[in-house]
Amino acid sequence: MTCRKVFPLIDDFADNCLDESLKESVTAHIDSCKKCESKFNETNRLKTLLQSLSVPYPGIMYFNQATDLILSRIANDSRTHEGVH
Amino acid sequence: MTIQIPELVRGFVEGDEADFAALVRMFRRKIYATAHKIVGNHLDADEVVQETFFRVYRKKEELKNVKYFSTFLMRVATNYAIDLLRRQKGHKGMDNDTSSLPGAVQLDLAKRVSTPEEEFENKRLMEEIQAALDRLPPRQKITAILHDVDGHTKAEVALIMECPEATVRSNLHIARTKLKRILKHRL
Repeated sequence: MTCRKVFPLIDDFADNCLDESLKESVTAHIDSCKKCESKFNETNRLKTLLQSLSVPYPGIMYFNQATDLILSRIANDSRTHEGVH
Repeated sequence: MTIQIPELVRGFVEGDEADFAALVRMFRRKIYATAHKIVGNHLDADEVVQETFFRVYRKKEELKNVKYFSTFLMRVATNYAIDLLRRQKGHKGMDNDTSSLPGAVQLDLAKRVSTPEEEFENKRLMEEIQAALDRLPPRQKITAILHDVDGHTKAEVALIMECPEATVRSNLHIARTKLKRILKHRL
């Protein structure tokens, strides 16, 4: 396999989405090509970095209040619709 | 006895309010976490959560297969988040400083922090990743978040975003190429 053929497959290879025969060919190429190996490693490092993204926990009180608001809005909306019909 | 999600969804579709409330409690954290990563702040994430469940309730007739409730929910949430991002184009989110939120605990935390230095460094890293994602157009950003951050498969992302898997692949490739350039110093 050539770099030109391997390059568009690197994302799927990093995501483990290639079928077995293609995976073997890409593995063999990456093992012998520094440039493609570097692209593959860079993709993996980006994936690891993105996986670490977390968001601040707003607290259980927030979730309970948000749930109450959602349910009361739905109840009000249902009452309004019943009133209309 | 544990009630399974399909049973709750069936109950909800048939008009059981208690089942809907149980589904809200079950999925609210997941929707909040994904919404926060898309819109980048608490106030907008809250708006996405509220609107998502309200819209899902009103669109329950569109839920053809109870198996796909989670996908349906995520689709409504991402569509609303895209609308919000487009409405705000050119405006910065109102509350990008997350330090004012109660608790240092992170939702779906991947990296545990202990010392103040580690906490500071982790916060800076999270801000950098978020800022990098914020530079992407909405659909590339959401594809990267759903696939690379939240761990959905390409087939799931395609269902959520109502597009072919080839489009997911293409958006993901472009998003990763841009993110590699922006986050080069971290790679």
